[in-house]
Amino acid sequence: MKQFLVKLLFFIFLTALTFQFLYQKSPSIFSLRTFFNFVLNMTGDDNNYRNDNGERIINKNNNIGFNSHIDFYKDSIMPNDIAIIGDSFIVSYQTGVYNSISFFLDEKLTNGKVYNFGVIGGNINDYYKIYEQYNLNGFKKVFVMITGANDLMYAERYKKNSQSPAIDFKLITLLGQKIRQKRRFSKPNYKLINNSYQNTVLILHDGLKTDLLRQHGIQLDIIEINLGLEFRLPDNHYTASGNKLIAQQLFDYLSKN
Amino acid sequence: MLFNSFEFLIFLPTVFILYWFVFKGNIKYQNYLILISSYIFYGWWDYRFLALIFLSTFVDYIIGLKVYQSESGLKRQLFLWVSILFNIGVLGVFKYYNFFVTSWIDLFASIGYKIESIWTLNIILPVGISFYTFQTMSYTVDIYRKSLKPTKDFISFASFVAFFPQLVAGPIERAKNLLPQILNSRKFNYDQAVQGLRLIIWGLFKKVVVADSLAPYVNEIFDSYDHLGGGTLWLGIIYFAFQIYCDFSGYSDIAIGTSKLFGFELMSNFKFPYFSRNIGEFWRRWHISLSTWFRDYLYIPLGGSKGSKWTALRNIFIVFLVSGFWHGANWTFIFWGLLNAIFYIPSFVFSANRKFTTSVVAENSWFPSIIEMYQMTSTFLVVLVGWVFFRSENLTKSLEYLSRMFFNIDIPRSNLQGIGFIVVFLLFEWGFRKDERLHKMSNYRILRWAIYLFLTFQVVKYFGVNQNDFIYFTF
Repeated sequence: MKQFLVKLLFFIFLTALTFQFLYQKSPSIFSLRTFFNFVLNMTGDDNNYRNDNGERIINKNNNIGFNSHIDFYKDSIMPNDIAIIGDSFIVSYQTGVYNSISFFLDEKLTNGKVYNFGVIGGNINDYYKIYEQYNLNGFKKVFVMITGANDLMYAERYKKNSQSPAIDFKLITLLGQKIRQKRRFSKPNYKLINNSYQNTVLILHDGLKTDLLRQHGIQLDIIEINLGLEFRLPDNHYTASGNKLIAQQLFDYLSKN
Repeated sequence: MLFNSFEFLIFLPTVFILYWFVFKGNIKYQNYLILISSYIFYGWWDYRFLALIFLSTFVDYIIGLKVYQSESGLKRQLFLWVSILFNIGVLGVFKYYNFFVTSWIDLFASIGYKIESIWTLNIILPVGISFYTFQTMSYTVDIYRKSLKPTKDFISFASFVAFFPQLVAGPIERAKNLLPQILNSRKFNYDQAVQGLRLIIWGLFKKVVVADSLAPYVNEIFDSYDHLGGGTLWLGIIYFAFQIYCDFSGYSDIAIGTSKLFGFELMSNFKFPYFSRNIGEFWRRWHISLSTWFRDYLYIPLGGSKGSKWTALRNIFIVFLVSGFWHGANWTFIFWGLLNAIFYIPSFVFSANRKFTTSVVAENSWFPSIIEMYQMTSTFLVVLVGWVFFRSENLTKSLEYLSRMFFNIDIPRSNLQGIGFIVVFLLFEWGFRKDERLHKMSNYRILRWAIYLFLTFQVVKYFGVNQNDFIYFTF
């Protein structure tokens, strides 16, 4: 028994050590593309690196921390301005800010600016928080891109501690977060979409269909994206030309409305 | 209480410490502890259904003694039937009653008689009911067959019925195996305990990392199958095949591993079924405790394969049909059972079902031969067709899903992220294929510890990200 307990404690110590050094610094073993991309970019500059297609791209954080070609100031919002919220498809780290949907749409619009509010791994709760935080009801339209499996699954993401401890024991911090976090739904929860944000327009893609949302009582305007494999990067995000086509669809919508 | 919950993370060490340190050497108190902790484990979900387990335990305890004490054959038979009818009755009320009522209403509606559905009951299906009723039933049958002596120790018998590691989803243990272990004293065994931890980590990896990561893709694909191309539907059913396997076998591994920590040996429930080379081998490797239960308590009493070929075929059909129905009160499960009977029968007719009874695939090599690859792939494809019925909500949706799979073929464009989980899982599974009990993960200590660390790292990382109940809890 003594030998068993000693080895068990040693194993727990080793696990904690592994977490301390590898957590958030190691790539996912379950995705080959992410793995290679991670390794290739390990030594690179965060703002200038190669995407999965080997293209050099530029990313830059704006003044409020979003990957965007323009800065955002609450006081200078104009009635024709547009916001785009979504997950990594909107962030466009894989294509760079000058190949993002928001940039392409901004190029097309003669009247009004387009702001990128994409957050990696975001979900609908995050999008509404962004909407509230930056007071987006003053915008002409707020496009919200919904990726079914990611965006409609979380009850709410966990909140980070406001104050970090002096020494961050990653295993303990992670377990603490997991205890506090709310459970994820086992299938998309359409009730998370709020019909009362009336200037929002939903962009659906990755298998989500308009009639499915209508069946669940969603009355907001919807734009459905159906792009082929040729517009996808190896990691499933859209290529620059894919983003351009999506921007065109948004532009067409804005022209009609 | 779920194995993949924080409550269990506190519960297990607490019971372990009490068992080996506080009540060490006192079998009576250890059995009391097993019983109380098992009832806490079950009651965590819904304490009201503890009464049902207690009733089931009490009835079979008394009947077991009565069967043993009765000298007249008629009396013994009578008591046996009381036990069978009681257990089937409990299942009938809690699991199948509403199904029968709605099926009758639907049948009458199909011939023009509309009946208001006023007879259905608003009852919850008690977790694990199909598992513990089968366990208690087999106890009485074994006593009736004189292959087992009943115990007079009610606490030990109640511990056998409610033993928390396997209470809610098996393996469905036989009294002949587990009860003597409960009645005799246990000694802590280092190798057994280490093997137990190994199985727990591997089981958690299967459940938390693989099954729960695949679940959102499976749900999404099955929910919107009518909008998706055949390629994605193939992906959906492959994901489900691995989801259900990792979910259920993961539970079994954790159950077997946890039992080992307390000095008990449970039977193996899965032996790498997706490496089977024909459907007969698949059924010897999938949910073994249920398959052997049906073999011993249904197939053989019906005459097994001793009579004519037609009688044997009839018996196979009955066993698969009942097995399907055991899984749930839905026509999809019955059809799944029938379909598997149809798949199984050709191998029975041509006596191929007894092939590959001992060997494992690629026994003396790293890679399978081309013939073995073909055999494994074709068996897996046949199993996949069955899973469509198992997973779908109703027969109409199953048939629509299947038709789109075969007649609307395209290259899947989305939901590809689950493939990585399956590939990594299969690499491990292939490496372990000769030893489902994981006696040794590797002969090299460094590699062994690296595997432990990798599995634990992933389990902690994915813990709670997609937390789902175990699928078989609802059966």
